[in-house]
Amino acid sequence: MSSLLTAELLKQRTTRLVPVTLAAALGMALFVLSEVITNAGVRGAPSLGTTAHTRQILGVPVLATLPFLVLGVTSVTAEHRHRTIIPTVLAEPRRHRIVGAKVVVCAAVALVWALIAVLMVQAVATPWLAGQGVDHLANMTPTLWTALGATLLVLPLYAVMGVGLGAVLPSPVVGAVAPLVWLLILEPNVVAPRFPAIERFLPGVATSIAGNAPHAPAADWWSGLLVLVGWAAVLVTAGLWRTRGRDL
Amino acid sequence: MTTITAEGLTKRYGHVTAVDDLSFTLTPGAITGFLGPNGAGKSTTMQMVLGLASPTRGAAMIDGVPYARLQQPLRLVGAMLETATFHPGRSARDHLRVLATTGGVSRRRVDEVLEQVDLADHADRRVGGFSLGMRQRLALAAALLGDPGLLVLDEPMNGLDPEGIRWLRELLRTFADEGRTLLISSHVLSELETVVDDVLIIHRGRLVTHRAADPDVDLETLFLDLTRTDAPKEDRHVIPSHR
Repeated sequence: MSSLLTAELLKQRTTRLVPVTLAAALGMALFVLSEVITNAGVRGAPSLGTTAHTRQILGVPVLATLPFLVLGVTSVTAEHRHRTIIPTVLAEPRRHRIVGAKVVVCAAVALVWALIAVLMVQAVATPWLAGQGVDHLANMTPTLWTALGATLLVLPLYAVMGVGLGAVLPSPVVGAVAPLVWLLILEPNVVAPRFPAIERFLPGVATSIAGNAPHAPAADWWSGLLVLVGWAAVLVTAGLWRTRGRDL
Repeated sequence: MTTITAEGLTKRYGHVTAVDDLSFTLTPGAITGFLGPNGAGKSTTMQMVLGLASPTRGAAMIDGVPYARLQQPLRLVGAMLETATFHPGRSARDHLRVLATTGGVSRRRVDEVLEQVDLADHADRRVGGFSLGMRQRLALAAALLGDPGLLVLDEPMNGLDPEGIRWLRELLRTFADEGRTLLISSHVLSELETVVDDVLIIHRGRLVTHRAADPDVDLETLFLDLTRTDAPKEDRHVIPSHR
């Protein structure tokens, strides 16, 4: 298995997609951070130095869930698009091992990125806020530490869900567009409002719960994480099942 | 010596039968030309042999084992099925390094096969800028990576210039002389007949003949006689291998 993990890492290192995705996600995080700081206290937004504002800052990297979902999806669909899946399966015919290696590597990449993003966000936010006389990390509470921990776990889970989804839907366009349509349009505007009894089991709402987002339904953060673990398990299982019998 | 055995190999897509009850055993250490008109089922057969497609019925084995159950298959089987199985943004060397790592093959082999297919000077170029002939050579390099005893090549001469075809012809003969088994599918019959030891012809998914190549029988004439649409059915009988 270690050779497969090395090969998967090599695949990610030897194309531009991964560094471009990571850089774009980091740029997005820093842009949102600047918005959170400059708009503090404006139109009902939490004021500087409050616990709510610190929670917003800590949650900034979670906004990169979609790039990591797409990263996971693309790690599978790109193989089908460029037909590299053929030599890959010829070299390792046990297809579940290929999917497993993608799960591990994408989750690891997302975890490392999440750590870097958290550190970079704090490296930018701390001096910026200090210049305005605010030490936002001075009032860290258990809830805020939880939000920070959830940030580190949510992104790898999204990358894993992406791998599963890509294995189920190997078309590059469908695989990338379908989850975006679900998370940005269908879930928040159609499914969650119509079926409030099940909303906490939806991936987008579960992400809000896990990250202690301001407007998330009242529930323990770990229940949101558990729901995301469940979605990741279901999608990867479905992906493994679809991969096993698919003609290439 | 490694060989392929197919027993009752059948593949159906809905109501269409692409391969129909195909059985054969390749002669170990020989070059077998795998022929058939477009849509005869050659590519589907190769995909089933290599575990890329599941047979509807029957089985294909590599030394008695289905491809999907082979441990480190690159060391046993080298395959070249399509020319466009590369990420265009990856260099030739990186493409081979990924495959070598996946298949548990020493990375030293990457440089050796690049040298062998005459691509060493282009190893660090992105494959997206390669000509068809260079892609063909890279696909062949990938097939040779594990130094396998069996090679399955689909249209290996496609895109090669005359010098490249001569180079490939000599390379194939060298492989056979080394005792490797080769299954080569090609429509370039004039080139194929200069290298093959055996001929395996299928038509509409069914085996038409599997015989030793006869220097006195023109391969193109044999092929056209056995696969023409108005050929009497009794012409399409299986002739046992001479070996």
